[in-house]
Parts: sequence; structure tokens; C-alpha cells
Amino acid sequence: MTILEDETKHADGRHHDDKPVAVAVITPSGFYPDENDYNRSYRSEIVGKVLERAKVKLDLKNTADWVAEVENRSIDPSKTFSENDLHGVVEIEWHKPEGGGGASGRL
Amino acid sequence: MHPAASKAKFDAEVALLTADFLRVKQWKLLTPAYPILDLTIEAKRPLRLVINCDNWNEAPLSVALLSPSDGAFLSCGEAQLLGGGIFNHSAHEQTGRPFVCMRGIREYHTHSSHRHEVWDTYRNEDGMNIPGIVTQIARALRKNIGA
Repeated sequence: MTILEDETKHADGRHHDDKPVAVAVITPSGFYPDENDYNRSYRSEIVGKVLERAKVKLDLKNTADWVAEVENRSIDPSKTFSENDLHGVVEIEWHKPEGGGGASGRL
Repeated sequence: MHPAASKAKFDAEVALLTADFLRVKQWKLLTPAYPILDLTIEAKRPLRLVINCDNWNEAPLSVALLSPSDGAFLSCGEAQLLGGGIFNHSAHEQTGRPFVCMRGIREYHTHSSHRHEVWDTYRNEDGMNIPGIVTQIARALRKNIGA
């Protein structure tokens, strides 16, 4: 990394052009951070990090098979907000997917 | 489960259906009075659900599919417009109506093809409460026919 490149970063490693994102996570157990607020994140942050914070706050135990969606579009929690093309105010629906019977192709 | 305990659980979970939650989910709440939860899921073709939560959550939810326009039960033919997957268009052995074929739904766990898959396996999992199960139905509907 050159000195010039280094000067484009904040002390926490974020680039100056890394835009903030206001995030809410909506789960069947409630909202993160809460119903009347948004969590401040950045476009460079991995979405899953925010979901982890929601999991702790909402005391969720097993979310291994849960899916994340924004406006009915599936997103990839292992990628950043930027990589998921998410910006501005982001409301993530995070929940267990449908399963059994017709959902799995059996009766 | 004692009716008072079932009602307390129902009330606690229905309390999660706040105005903001309903806005994000695009659901319209009609009747939230134990044991009935009556709501409409907005989608390209909206769907009204009348959910009987008696004995919740010892028993899974019993879900009836209705037309939002006139409140009539969907016929097997009309249910075909919802698409396939969890929406089973044939008459259920007990209700005689099309049904939701998905874990967490009484018509699924009581169907002869799924009696081996007991509700107790799922009832305490995260995301298998009333808002979570309705979310799963709404997701399947919008995947089938669009939002």
C-alpha cells in the first residue's frame, strides 16, 4: 500500500468514500436495533456482521438456515452491502425459509 | 395446552405485528382476536389467510386460504392461481379444501403423507412462531406469483 492509498482511509480502515448505510433487521422475534431506530453501518461491511449483532440482541439461538431479503430480493449475508447493491436505508427481512412438503418438492 | 397459556402465547406473538412490522411485510391485519388471526398478504395476487391458533403452540397453525375480495374460501381451482410449492390445490382429507403444505401448518402435519413428521420437532425452533410462519407463507406466495 502506498502512502497516498493509506491517506484515503479512516483510522478504522474504512475508505473516505465508504458511504454509511442505515440498517434495520426485521425478524419474527422483532427488530434490530429496535423498531424506532436504524443501525449505522457502512457499504463495506459484511451484511452477516449486522445479522450477528441482531442475533445477539434478539437472543436467537439457531439461525443457520435463515434467509435474508430486501424488498423481496434475496441477498448474500457473506458479502458486503455494496456487493449486495444495498445503500441508503436498508430494511433486511431475516427469517427461516419455508420447508417441508410442497416446499421441498414432496406432496 | 391450557387455553389461558395458549392465549397468552398468541397475544405475545401477535403483539410483534406492529404497524412497522406490517408495513415491511406488506400484510393487512384484519382480526387479531384469540384464537383467530385474520390477515391479507399483499402480492401481485393478494391472499387472505384465516389462521386458527387454538391450542397454540402445542398444535400447529390451521390455515384457511380465502379470497381478499369476498372472504370466500378458495376452491381447489382458484388455489391453482397461487402457484405450486407449499400451496396444495387438492382437497385436504380433513377440511376438504386446498391447503398450505408446509411444516408448522396443521393441515400438513395431519395429512396422511406427513403424519410421521411431528410438529414437536419444530415448535421450539427460532422463527417458528406466528409471525415467522406467516412470513414463510408470504415469501412462497411472492416467489410464485410476484410481489
